[in-house]
Order: sequence, then C-alpha cells, then structure tokens
Amino acid sequence: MTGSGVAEGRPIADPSWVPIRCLIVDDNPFFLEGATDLLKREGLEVVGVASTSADAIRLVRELRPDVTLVDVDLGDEDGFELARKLSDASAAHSKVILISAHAEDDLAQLIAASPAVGFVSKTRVSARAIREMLERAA
Amino acid sequence: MELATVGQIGTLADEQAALRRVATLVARGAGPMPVFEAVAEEVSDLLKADVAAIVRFEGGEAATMMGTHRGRRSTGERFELDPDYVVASVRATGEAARFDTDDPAAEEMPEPVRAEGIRSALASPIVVDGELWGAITVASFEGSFPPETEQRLTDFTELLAAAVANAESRQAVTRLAEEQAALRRVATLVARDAPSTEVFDAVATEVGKLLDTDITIVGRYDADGMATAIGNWSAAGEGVPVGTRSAIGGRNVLTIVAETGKPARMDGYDDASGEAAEIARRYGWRSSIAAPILVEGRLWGVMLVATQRPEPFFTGAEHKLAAFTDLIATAIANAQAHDELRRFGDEQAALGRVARLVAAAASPERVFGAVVAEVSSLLGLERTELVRYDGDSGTVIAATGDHPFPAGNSWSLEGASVMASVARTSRAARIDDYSNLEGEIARTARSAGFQSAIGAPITVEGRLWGVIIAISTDPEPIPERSEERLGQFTGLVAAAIANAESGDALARIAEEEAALRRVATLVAEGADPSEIFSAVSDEAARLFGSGAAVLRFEPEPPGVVFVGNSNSYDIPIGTSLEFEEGMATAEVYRTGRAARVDGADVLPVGRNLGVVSSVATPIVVEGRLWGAVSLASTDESLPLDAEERLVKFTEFVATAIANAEGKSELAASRRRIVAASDEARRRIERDLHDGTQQRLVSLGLAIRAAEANLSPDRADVRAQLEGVVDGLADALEDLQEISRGIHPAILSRGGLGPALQTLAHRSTIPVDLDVTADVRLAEPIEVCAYFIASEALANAAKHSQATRIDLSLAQRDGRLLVSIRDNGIGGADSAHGSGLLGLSDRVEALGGSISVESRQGKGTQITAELPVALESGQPVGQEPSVRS
Repeated sequence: MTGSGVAEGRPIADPSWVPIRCLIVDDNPFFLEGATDLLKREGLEVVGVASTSADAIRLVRELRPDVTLVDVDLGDEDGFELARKLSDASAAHSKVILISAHAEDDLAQLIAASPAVGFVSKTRVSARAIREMLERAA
Repeated sequence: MELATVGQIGTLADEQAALRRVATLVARGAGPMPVFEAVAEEVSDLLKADVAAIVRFEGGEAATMMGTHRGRRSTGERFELDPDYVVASVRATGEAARFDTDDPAAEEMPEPVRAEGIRSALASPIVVDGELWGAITVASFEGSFPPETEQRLTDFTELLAAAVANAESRQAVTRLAEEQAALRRVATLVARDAPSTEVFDAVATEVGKLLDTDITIVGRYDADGMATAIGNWSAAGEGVPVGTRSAIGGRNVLTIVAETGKPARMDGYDDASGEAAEIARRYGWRSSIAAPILVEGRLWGVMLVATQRPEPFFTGAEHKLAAFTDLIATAIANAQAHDELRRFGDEQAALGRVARLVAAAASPERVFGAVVAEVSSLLGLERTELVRYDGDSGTVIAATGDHPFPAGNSWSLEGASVMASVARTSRAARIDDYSNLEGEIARTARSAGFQSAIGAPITVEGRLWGVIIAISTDPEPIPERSEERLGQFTGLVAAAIANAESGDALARIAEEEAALRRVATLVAEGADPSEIFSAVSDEAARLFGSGAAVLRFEPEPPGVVFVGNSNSYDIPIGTSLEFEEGMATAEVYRTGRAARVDGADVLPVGRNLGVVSSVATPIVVEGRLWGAVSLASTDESLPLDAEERLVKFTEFVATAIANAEGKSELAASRRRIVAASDEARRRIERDLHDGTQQRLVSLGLAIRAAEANLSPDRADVRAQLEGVVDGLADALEDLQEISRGIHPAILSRGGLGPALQTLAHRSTIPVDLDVTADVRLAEPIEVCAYFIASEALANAAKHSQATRIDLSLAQRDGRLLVSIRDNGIGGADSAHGSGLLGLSDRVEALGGSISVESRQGKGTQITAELPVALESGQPVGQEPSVRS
C-alpha cells in the first residue's frame, strides 16, 4: 500500500474532470467497505460492489463501469473465471483488473493468461494505480 | 491080473532101490527137473505104469508138466487140467484119486482118457510145506493098479515134496539172494543220489529180470487223471517209451491199482478195456501184474510188469512185486527229498537274489524282471507273466518266454483265465485244460498251445495288486504245489512295490515341501496375489499331474471367477462361471468344506474336456469363505488324499490374500492420511488468506483512509502511518510466504503446470522448465509433485552452487515422472535432503517412488515417479469379471 499523502483524483478547480467509474467484486465485506472508502477519497467513483459472479455480471451490465476490480478468490468461485466472463461479454469497454491478497508472483502464469488488463495487490490498491493501469491498457 | 503079489519082497527091494536113487538125486541137490524125470521113470517102472507124470498146479485149472515118462505132454508144458480126470480130483480134494474101468468104452471115461486108451489112473497129491503143490499120476493101458499103489506112491510123493522143498528153498534162497542183490544195486543208486529216472529204469530192469517178465514199467499217477511212464525195461529192447501217457479208466491193471490202491493182475486182455488196455494190446501183452507205489502214505504211482508169453505169471507174483515196490517208494521218497532239498536250495538262492534287489530299493521294474526270470528258471517253465490289475483289466508288466501275452498289453478279466480267477478270489489258481474255456485269454492261450497254467496273487498292504503266472505247453500238468513255490515270490514283489510306493510317497512329500516352500517365499516377499494364485496353480498342477486353478467366489449370481490357472486349463484369468450341480466348487461354496466329484457326476462340460475327477478345497480369509483351489484330472482319479494335501496350498493362498488385503488396507489408510493432510493444509492456507491476510489488508486500507483525512501539516503522523502501512504490507508478505510453504494457491487453481512455472520463476537459480503433462490430476498427486519440485529447488538454492536447474514433468505409461537436475557440486546427503525424506513417505503412500542421485562434483538428480491415478481401493484380486 502506498500512501500518497495527497488525495488524488478530483482536482479542485478542473470542471472537465471525469471520475473513473469502478465496480468492486470481492467476497470480503470489510475489504469492500475499506476499499470503497479509500478509492472514493482518492477521486474514483465506486458505482457498486458485488460479492458473487452472478451479481457482478448483472451490475456490470446495468451500471457499465469503466473498470471492474475482481478478487481472484471469490469464496467457492474463481475470480479468473469471472474475469474471462466479463471480458467475453459485449462490455468490451469495461476493463477488468484482478486483485488479491496473494502475491502477484504466485499467480503470475494465471494472470498472464487472463484477459484482465492487469493485477493489483490489495495492499497497493489506489486510484492512481488503477488509473495508470487503465492508461497503459488503452 | 494081479501084479506084485508074487514078488512082493522083490518089489519092496525094487522100491527101496528106486527111492534110494531118487533120494540120492535129491541129496545131491539136483534141480527139480531131473528129480521129477527120475521119479516119473522109477515110478513107472515100479508100478508097471504105462504113463507117469508129475505136474505142478498153477492158478485156476492150469498145471505145468514137471516130469513125465512116456506121457504125451512134454516137460515144461502148461495145460489145462481135465476136470474129470484124477489129477483134477486131487487138485480139488487134496487127496489121492483113482480111476478104473474095465471097459475102455464105458461112457464115464473122459474123452481124452479113452482116446489114449487108459484103463486105470491114479493120482496122489504132492504137499510142500503144508501146501498142495502138485500131483503125481500114473496110468495104465491094461488092467488096474493094485489097491496099495496109492500107498507106494505116497513114499515117492514125500521124496518129491522134499526135493521140491529143497529146490524151492534153494530157489528161494537164490531168488532172495538175487532180490537182495537187485535191491542193493538200486539202493546204491539211490544213495548215490542218482537222478530219479536212472533209479526208475534200474528198478524196472531189476524187476523185469527177477520176475522174468518181458516188460516192466514204472508209472506215475498225475493230477489230471492220467498216468505217465517214467521208467521202463524191456527184455526185447522195445517197450513202452518213457513219457507215454494213458488215461486211467476202463478195465485194466493200471486202473485197478489207481482205484483200489492194491496190487492187481490180469491174465489175458480179451475183456480188458480202456486206453491202458489199448496200449497193452498194441505191445502184445498177454498178461500183466501191477503193484502200487505208495510214497509217504499217498498213492504215487505203479509198477507194472507184463509178459507177451501165453503163460500167466506165477501165483503170488503180484505180491513179490509189491515187496519190490516198497524199495521204489523209498527211492522215490529219497529222490523227492533230494529233489526237494535241491529245489529248496535253488528256491532260497533265487529268493535271496530277488530279496537283495528289494533291499537295495531297486526299481519295481527291475524286481519284476528278476522275479519272472527266477520263477521261469525254478519251475522250469519258459513262459511266465507278471500282471498288474487295473480295475477290470490286467496289464502284463513283465514276462519271459515267447507267448502272446508280452509286457505292455492289457487283457479283459472277463472269461476264464488264471488272471481272472485270481482277481476274483484273491487266491492261487490253476488251469489244466484250456479246451472248453471261454474268453479272449482262453482262446489266445489255446492257439498258443498252452496246456496248463498256475497263478499266485500279489497282495500289497492288504489289497490285491496283481498276479504272477507260469505257463506250461507240455502235456503233463504243472506239478502240484507249484503254486506254493510261486507264492514265495509274491511276497517279495509286494515288498518291492510297497517300497517303491513308500519311496514314491517320500519323493512326493519332498516335492510337496519344495513346492510349498516356493509359494511361501513368494508370500513372504509380498508378491502380488495374482502372482501367488498363478504359482499355486502351477505347483498344484505339477504335483498332482492334473489341471489346477484358484477361484474367487462371487455371490451374485453365485459362481466363481478364475484368478489363477495352470497351463492345462484353457480358461483365461477373469472368466466367471455360474455354479451348477456337479461342480466341486459349488459344493465347497455350499458346505464350506472340501469336495470331490468323480466319474459320472462330473459336469458334461467337464467330461467333454476329458475330466474324470475333480477336487476343490475352500480358501478361508479371516473367517470368511473367499474362494477355492480346485484340481481336475483327465487321466485317472485324483488320489484319495488330494483334499488333505491341497489344504496347505490353500492356506498359503488365504495368507497371501489376507496380506494383500492388509497391505492394501494399509496403503489405503496411508493415502487417506496424505489426502487428509493435504486437505488440512489447504484449509489452513485458505483460512490464512481469508482471515488474517484479509484483515491485514483491511487494516492497511483503514490506515490509508485515515491518512487521507490528515491535514497536510501533519506530515509526521503521516510518516508514522505510512510506516505502519508498510509494516502491514510486510506482514502480509510474510504470511504469503508461509502460505506458499503450506499450499500454493495457484496449484489448486491452475494445476501443476502453472504452479511449477511459478516455482521456476521464483527460483534464484535459473530453471529450464519442461512440462509436457497438462491434465489435472488428483490433488494428493499434484501436491506431492509440486512439493518435490519445490523442495528440490530450495535445496539446490541452498547447497548446490549450481548455475542451472533442469526441471521436467512428463506422463508416461500411467505414471507421472518428475525430474530435477542441477549442475552443482553434488554430494547431497540425507541430512540435507531431510525435506525429501519426509516427502518420500508421502510418495510411497501414494504408490510412487523417489530416488536421489548425488555424487560429489556431479550435481544432484532427483527423480520421482507417481501413479497418474490413485488406486481406487478395490478389494484384492478384483480383476474385472468377464462373463463367460
């Protein structure tokens, strides 16, 4: 987790600023709460949260976020599988970023094989990291 | 006209002179003939007779002319007494008789007398030693003899009697001397131990000469109602040859002696009958005498003398003969005793030779061959057989001589034969005549010219095993009691067979022990049950000379599955059969005990395969009936103790199964432990992840949120907070590290491929990864393979100083092969590889293997092999059933 000191995101004086719309998918409610709080502070718009694949797919379809953060572990379900599903769906404009409490190294092969645009460790989740990843993937 | 009254004194003087002359002759020991002649002449002169004669009475009405003066018969002539004449009267009454007639033409006069013109005749008896010996008779053609003529004759008759008595006693002495000499000659032969035939011939000769016969024969009565000539003598050199046989029967001396056991005589063969009479007539016998030869109280034979002359034998000749036969009887008894002794000696020697063979445990075949050779030689019979009984036929095992029953052939025991007779009665048997017998053996014997045969049974340990048979083609039957002599050998044969059988039994026991040992070794080595089933089937098949199989029982439908087979069974392993009546295994299933099915009860399918006998014994594993071991024989009934002997084998099978089941239980339980441990680790990892790790993350987030709330001027607090966040990040990393060691998340998700890639990626030494297996496998296997690789890489990183590691994963023939090789300094030992040691237990529990090769300076190579699929935990011997 990198602390940035200054809340990034919404520049105080720029009226053209459009916040990134983000959906978080995780089966841990504490994380959902904590991450939602942090990212909002940092200028991301968290449009929704989901804990299951089914909910995630539905919300993505309805809310059409710019990015969906998907935890690799979704209880019994597999985050990689959900990432594939979300990428297959016609919502191609919605990118997926995989998150996990596991180290990236440990999941390297699976991440590389995934259609997600990247991976962010849960400890490093921040608006800047997400923005940078999306810009890289664009 | 009266004679003698005138010159009575002169007459007396003449008489005295005449008597003196005769007496002188007698005193001088003149033989009877001259005396008779002299007396006849003197008497004739003295009594003025025209004819004088002295006759000797023979048997019946016969008489012999001993001396005559002017009589019409000649000295030595034999004639029949005229019954009306005075001489016959003397013979009949023993008293003097007289015949007078004045008229020669008177009718009372007997014809011959009248023909001769005799007017008066007188006859006086001659009595010798109290017996009427003969008579003296005078006859006149003119007038009568004076009345005192009988008295005057008496004096002469007394002289004559004395002369005869002298002569006879001299004759008797001479004859006695001759007899003694003859007896001595024969006795010498006997003492010299001359062969019987020499003795018989000698006796025949002596008797012939002594009794002045033409022919003498010594004959033996045989058991078949016939008699055989065994010794002979003939005056003319041509008699009945030795060996001639005659049936006993009809009217002849041979038969009379045979039937009465007493001497007999036959004067004339006119009304004789029977074969013996035919022979007699053929050789021109006119009369014969026979006396029995009694040896040890039994009628052994007969001595027969015959003459071709018309005169019969003298009275009492048969008794003379009888006296002589005693000597023969002794000679025969002696000879028999000598023969017996010799034979006994021969027998003992022969028995000794055979007994030595038996004691040296020679093979039965050798003993059989020796026995038939000895028997043949001892009994003097060229043709012998030794037969073994096989059910309802007899097989010739050994034989001597040229006959149609050589070794190797089998004969039916139906019909009449010595073989069959002994088989029926278990006692010695004999056949003396094959003429009217039925059956194959009898026919064959007849055409081969067999005349008689004997057999003695061979009994081994109380059961009838076979028979020794001796055969004769001679007309004479085999001597009596030969069966007994044969019987002496049967005991030896039986001993040889019993020896061999017990030797066989010993050999069999040794074979069995060896076979059991071989199977035991397999069981101890922990060989696969299928290998043991196969070994047991093969060993049992070899031992019993039959087919053998190991079968497992199936309950639904009730039947068997073949799990082991000897080669002779053409049934594949795994074949299953439903139970049917008549299967020995069905019986075992039903009763839980050994069962046997023989002969007609065998199933048709078995019979078609030629099975004649089957036996099955139960396999009981830890108290439950698991299956059976079975034997099936196509040549002969399985031995009665087969069930017992099989038991040891079935016990081994049961042990092997129990072992294997135990092992498989053990293995299954180890697998379960490994799987449980893997599962536990995964849960721990999961708990760590879901619990503590997430908490740390959340804490981090919360602090960063708090950070964001800080006013810019609180840089010190911000720095502290960032420190905490870093600390939390580190803590999380620590947990991740721990988690990796417990159960890598990627393994569950992605399988071995990605997991090994991650390992390789993280390795400090460059890893050349070659993964060609890409299917997901059971969790314990993937975990095991992963940790092998992980441990190997960790060890290499710590100790090897290598610059490169080759890690490969491949799947081949149902096995997963993991190989890690480094080019380091090698020399890894178990201390360093302790992690690997722990892993090797796990590897083996899964049914795999692991090896480490690490030589100084040559790097380290770790190779592991794991099954691709875990054993499903099926019961032992559970080959998939194939419906047959």
